[in-house]
Amino acid sequence: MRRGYADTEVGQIHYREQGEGDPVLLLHHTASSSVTFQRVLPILAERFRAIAVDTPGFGSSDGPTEIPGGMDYYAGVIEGVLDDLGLERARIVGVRTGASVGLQLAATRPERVEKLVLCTTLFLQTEEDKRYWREEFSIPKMWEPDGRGQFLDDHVLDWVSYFARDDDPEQYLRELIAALQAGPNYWWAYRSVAEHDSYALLPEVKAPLLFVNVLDDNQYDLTRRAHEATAGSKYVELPGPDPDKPGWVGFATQYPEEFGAALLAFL
Amino acid sequence: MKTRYAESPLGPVHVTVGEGDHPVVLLHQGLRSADSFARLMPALEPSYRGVAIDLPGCGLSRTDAERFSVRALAESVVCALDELGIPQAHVLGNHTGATVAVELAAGWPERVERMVLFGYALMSSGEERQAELDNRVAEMARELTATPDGSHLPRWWSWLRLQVAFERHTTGTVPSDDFSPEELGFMKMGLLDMARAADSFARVYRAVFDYDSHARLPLVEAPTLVIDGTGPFEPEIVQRSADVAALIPGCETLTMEGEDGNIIWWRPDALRDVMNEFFERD
Repeated sequence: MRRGYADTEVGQIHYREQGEGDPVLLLHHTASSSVTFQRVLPILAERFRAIAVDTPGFGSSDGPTEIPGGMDYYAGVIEGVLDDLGLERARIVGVRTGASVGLQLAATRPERVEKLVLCTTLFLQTEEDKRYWREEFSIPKMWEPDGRGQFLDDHVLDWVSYFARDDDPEQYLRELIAALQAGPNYWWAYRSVAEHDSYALLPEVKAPLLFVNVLDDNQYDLTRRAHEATAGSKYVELPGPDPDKPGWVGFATQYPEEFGAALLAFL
Repeated sequence: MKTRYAESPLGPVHVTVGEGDHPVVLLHQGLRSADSFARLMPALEPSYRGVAIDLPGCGLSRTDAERFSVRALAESVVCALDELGIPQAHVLGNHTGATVAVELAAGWPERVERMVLFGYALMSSGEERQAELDNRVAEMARELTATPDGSHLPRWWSWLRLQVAFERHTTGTVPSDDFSPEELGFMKMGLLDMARAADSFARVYRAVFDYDSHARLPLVEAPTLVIDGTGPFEPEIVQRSADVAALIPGCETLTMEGEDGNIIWWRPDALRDVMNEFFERD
């Protein structure tokens, strides 16, 4: 595993990478970092140069100093990463918020995107859905540290446990570290998600497109709907968690073998 | 500040570089990272350029090596200096970082100009002592290991609050639940560093405990100042600067009343003044 920084307009963008060959860029969910792909990278590295990026404001990357104007801010920074690494084109894999960034990049800079994978997307179609995200998730109500440590009990723990299984302390620790790194402004990314006009952009994608869904993910329906609305897109469903197992989550990076195999088959 | 990685035998080493003239390598305490120098680095500018290194096993310097020595930790510092093209620098070592600094000066004397050590842990050898240290590591592992039920988090937070309480005591402030931005910043920084070192701190401490200070300290050629603090959070093991100084030819000592290793966060200017006076003496 190699690590490094790309110099972009907004500062230093941190990444970790593995393997040689055609580049695959992986974009994480909120409020994670490239660390979420720790187990996926070695699988992709069998055939590709897999590069997981800390998107701006997350992990060890520099970030915006005020709420970004929209998803194009994030896509622009990722384009800057491609420029700095000397990559004309790349395959893009985005999870949740990362999928929104990938979609924006592919729709507005089609010459940079070879293939596109959108996993458990947060593409909001109706005004009602968008308002819900704006009001519920894109507000500064969580994670502001208090001396008593109440924010840990109330918010951080709940949050992290959604992305890592109770029986997986390694991944739990990774997601916890990423959440602490992201800090109280993590919701800025959700503001862009809530305002993103995903359904207008989907027809603009010229690259081959795969949707990856996970059974029992809380965005299962959203992902399914986005696929059905996009003519010519491919679709894969990961089996998801074992419902007999306590503490499961339906999250793709918790199933690196299945997720990695689906990615390799398409990419 | 700019950040980058340098390749080393223990894996990529993360380096944070400030803006200033003369390079000063900053080596942090165990369970901490270069982030703990966030307030000292600007205080050193513009005379000094802080080069703060995440020691392998801490911060962003992940290492898969199951066992490593202080020599290997010092070598990772050399790799960072090579990557940055710095032939020689002053050094500040804090606790675990002080041990690494000594090995840097003993093993690569041409790289170290002048050296300040804060809270050097001089441990006696012998089986009994080793058993005591093993127990200490095991005890810390119980405290620090992260579990998915999250029960470690309030424990970690309490430990950081305790350090703030000690700090308030030494400065005469009455403890309360109103935390200043500096105090909250300290606790946030500490929490992240503990999370990042949770699965590797034992290996770092193991390396320090295995280090043969009595054999290596006499090899230090660089002019050295050993500081100890009398703060209540400072363990007894690092309060014997005279014993350390006795082993380094020509070494000087200084006692800072009421201070502990967190001086780099609470009173960076005070430490900067001491460093400046010692570095500029010749």
